[in-house]
Amino acid sequence: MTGNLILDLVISVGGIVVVVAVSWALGAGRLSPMSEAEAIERAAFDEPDFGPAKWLLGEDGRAAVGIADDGESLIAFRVGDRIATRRFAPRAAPVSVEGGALVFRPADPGAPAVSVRAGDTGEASAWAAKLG
Amino acid sequence: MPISIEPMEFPDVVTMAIPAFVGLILIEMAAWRLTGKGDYESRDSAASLVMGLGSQIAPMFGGAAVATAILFAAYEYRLFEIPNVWWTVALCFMLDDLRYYWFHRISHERRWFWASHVIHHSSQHYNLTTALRQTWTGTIMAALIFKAPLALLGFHPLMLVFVGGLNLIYQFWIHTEIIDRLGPFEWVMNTPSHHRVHHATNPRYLDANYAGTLIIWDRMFGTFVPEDKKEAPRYGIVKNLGTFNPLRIAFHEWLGIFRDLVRSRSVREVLGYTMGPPGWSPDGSRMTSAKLKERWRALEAEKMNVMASESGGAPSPAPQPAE
Repeated sequence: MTGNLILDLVISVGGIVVVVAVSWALGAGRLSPMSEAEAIERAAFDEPDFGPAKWLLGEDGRAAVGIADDGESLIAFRVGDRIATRRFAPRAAPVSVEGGALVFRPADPGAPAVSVRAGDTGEASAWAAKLG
Repeated sequence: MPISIEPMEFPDVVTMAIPAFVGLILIEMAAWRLTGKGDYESRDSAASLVMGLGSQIAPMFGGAAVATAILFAAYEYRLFEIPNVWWTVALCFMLDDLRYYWFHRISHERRWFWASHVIHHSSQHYNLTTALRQTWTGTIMAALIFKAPLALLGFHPLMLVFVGGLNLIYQFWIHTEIIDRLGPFEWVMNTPSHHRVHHATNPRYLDANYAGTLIIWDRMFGTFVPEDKKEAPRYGIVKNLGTFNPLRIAFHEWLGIFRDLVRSRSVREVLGYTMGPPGWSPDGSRMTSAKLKERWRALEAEKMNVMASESGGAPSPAPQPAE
């Protein structure tokens, strides 16, 4: 743009900051907790053959886990204002219990560690026993 | 007498267009708030714009130099002396658009290329910032395999960069939900409607509408799927990312390939993990887009049969995803 790499970089970063700030001001920074219905709807779109499941929605509404009758499980988690999912084979979810939450660490590099806050450690442990 | 365009006269159209990109993004945001059409999420937009900036910086680490060298080397062995005049620029644009179709198609059908291109599809939103969510790792492959033949034909490398820039600029405005169908324009040109289908993860829309500028290539090669008003596109990738971290966005698929290669036990597996379709696995446990479509067709047929048996009618055939 100007021929000066540093100046071009500063202008570009400034442009990004302006666009993001305007989007924020217009309400694009909104975040809302996920409902169980939203998690189920997203799961049905991503994995339509995932069986009817029993669901645990995290207390903070950031993530949910469903376990099907055949033992398969699926996590649904917030990504900004959208939802992503990961599905696991029966009793093969990469899950651990950490302070009353079920923490999933999927192997694929595109998924973060996902925490589903259960009511208490006992409930989390009971779910973990069924999932992993 | 033809008007000569010297190679040095090809302007850097992409850089010139950047202020227009920013202006149009702001206009689209305003339209979103005023009309309710389209959608924005700040962190998603920030990630897309950072990916766009990175895509301009990344080639400076050697990719641009190598790509330029490849194009000029091919041009040294050119088959024809093609002058730099307006009609050769138009011809070059057409051929480059055809080149783009095939490169884009292979970028979806082969994992090695998908690892670069997946970045552009990794947003669950579809707006003008998505257009700028570009790869950091695609420069050399694009030049080496697909642009070099045009230089070998005799099109000057700077003309190729110029028409490639025009193609990129054209594709910017089609990344929007604000513009509906555009009548007869839809027959020949790539449009927001056609490209929404391309970005959709609905099984009926997968692997369709690879065009850059002209949708005729999809119509010719059997990959055209029209937008169905009854099924709104849902954007992203079939295993959506759970992050806005630019480094993860840029390299997650490359990391996935690396992990798979480390575990590979045969040449077949190495080839499958790199040059197979995205989602390929030796035991078939992962989902390719072909399998996703197959699953969708089976489930739809099952639903229709249930509906037919409940109403006492004949079973219906499975739906078809493409024309």
